[in-house]
Amino acid sequence: MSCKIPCLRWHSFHTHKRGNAPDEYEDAFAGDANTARFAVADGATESSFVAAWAKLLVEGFVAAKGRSWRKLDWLGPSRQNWADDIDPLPLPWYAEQKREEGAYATLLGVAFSCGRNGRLGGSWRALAVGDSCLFRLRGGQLVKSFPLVRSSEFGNQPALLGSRGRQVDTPTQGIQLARGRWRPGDRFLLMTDALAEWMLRRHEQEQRPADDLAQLLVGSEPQDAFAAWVEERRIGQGLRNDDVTLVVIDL
Amino acid sequence: MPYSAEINRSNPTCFVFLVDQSHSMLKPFVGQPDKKKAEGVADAINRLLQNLILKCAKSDGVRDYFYVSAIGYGGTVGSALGGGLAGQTLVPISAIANNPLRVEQRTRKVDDGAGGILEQKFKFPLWVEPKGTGKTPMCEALRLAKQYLDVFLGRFTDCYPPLVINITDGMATDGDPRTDAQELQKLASSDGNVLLFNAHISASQTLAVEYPSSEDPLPDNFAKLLFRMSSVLPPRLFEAARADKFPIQPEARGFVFNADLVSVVRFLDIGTRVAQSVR
Repeated sequence: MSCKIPCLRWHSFHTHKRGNAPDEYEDAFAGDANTARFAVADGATESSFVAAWAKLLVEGFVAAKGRSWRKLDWLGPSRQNWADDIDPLPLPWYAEQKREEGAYATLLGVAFSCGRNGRLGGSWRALAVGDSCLFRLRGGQLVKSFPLVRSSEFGNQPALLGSRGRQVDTPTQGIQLARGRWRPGDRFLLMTDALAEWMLRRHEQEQRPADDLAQLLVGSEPQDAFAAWVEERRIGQGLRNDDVTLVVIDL
Repeated sequence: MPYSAEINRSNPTCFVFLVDQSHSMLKPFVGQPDKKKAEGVADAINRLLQNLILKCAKSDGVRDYFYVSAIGYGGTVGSALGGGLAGQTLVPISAIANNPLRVEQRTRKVDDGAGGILEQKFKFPLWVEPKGTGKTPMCEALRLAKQYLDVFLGRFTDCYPPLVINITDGMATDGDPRTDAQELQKLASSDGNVLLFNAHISASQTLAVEYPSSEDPLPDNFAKLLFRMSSVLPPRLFEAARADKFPIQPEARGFVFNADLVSVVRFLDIGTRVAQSVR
């Protein structure tokens, strides 16, 4: 059903939490324009070896074309890869205990398909575990927010996918699915929680956050400007100090 | 809003543990002639330290979100820490993590995921040994905590307010501790006043009370006095306790009777948490 979407363009942006070192960034993102699959993940601060797990999650999702959306059977190999890398490490007692608990991260993934018979546009499907969010913009207007729709819904205990593969590590009730149609000219934004919360709060305040982002994206060096853009909003607009990741997909 | 400062390595907060090490702690728990109260107290403080460390442990080490002091009070009043930390007053949590007195190998029973139980080995580090001598100079310990926190708050003026956790079996022998408790609670950062929480370990282990909002369920005057000394949970800690399914009411206080205060460590916000039910 899916096909290469010729008009698809995507960009990713990220910055680390203020006060942390750049290599302490624990979000992750991945995308593949050929399969039209994209994902972001946010590693839980209170777990260890989490950057590796977040990266395995987004890469696992992007590579899982044709796999079940409900069973998430692609998680098995990702978990095995995490264990293969982490379990042999010699560690002090505290890191050993955290390793036993496993790493945890949110995941938001989206896949796009072409319409049949040359129709313009097509369909999209998304998967969310936790509070990383997808926003769909049409004509600069926010027309879809998933899985959270209000800024008040964010907390510090979202649903998470765990690296250990116990029953609790794939929280059945925390897995949310959505689908819809896309049209040429649509823009999809994938964000980890701090930026998503800012986006929804600014939208609730009728501050047109999508325009604010659009201005960043039309700049000459948006990648270089992203960290400063985020910092300005941390200081002036209550954007929570956290790792920040944004994937922009233009169709 | 008070009690909302971000806890991070450049703006850490502080825990001061007051550990009752008086002679009365050598008495056993009712129904457990082989277990002294001093062992219960040592278990409590060691579990608190472990949980603080695990909260800050990352793959590359332990991040210093917390400074820790442990003051023992009994025959003497002073640092309850030994080994490489002996005599130190305010210690970064990474130094606590790397300097236990010893690490014991213990076993616990866990669900094997297939309807059975299996024994799992785990490492159990210890920093404080069971001890019981002399009287109960709780007032002096509260005053020493105040001295330490004066220093800490002079350095970290905007920190999340420090938490003092007093673990005891009851009665101070050097005066009414409420006065010194109030003096301690008057200390403040720009984010709010110092919090004093109390864990009362009684000889009888039949009744457990966690975060009560009134003293009515408490069985004796010692417990009621400690309840009155305890700070009300700030809103975010209250909400975190609710989220963890504690059946608490408004004006709940940082007081537990025959229970531990490990949950307080979970309630503190340093970033995305993993639900307790998952661990």
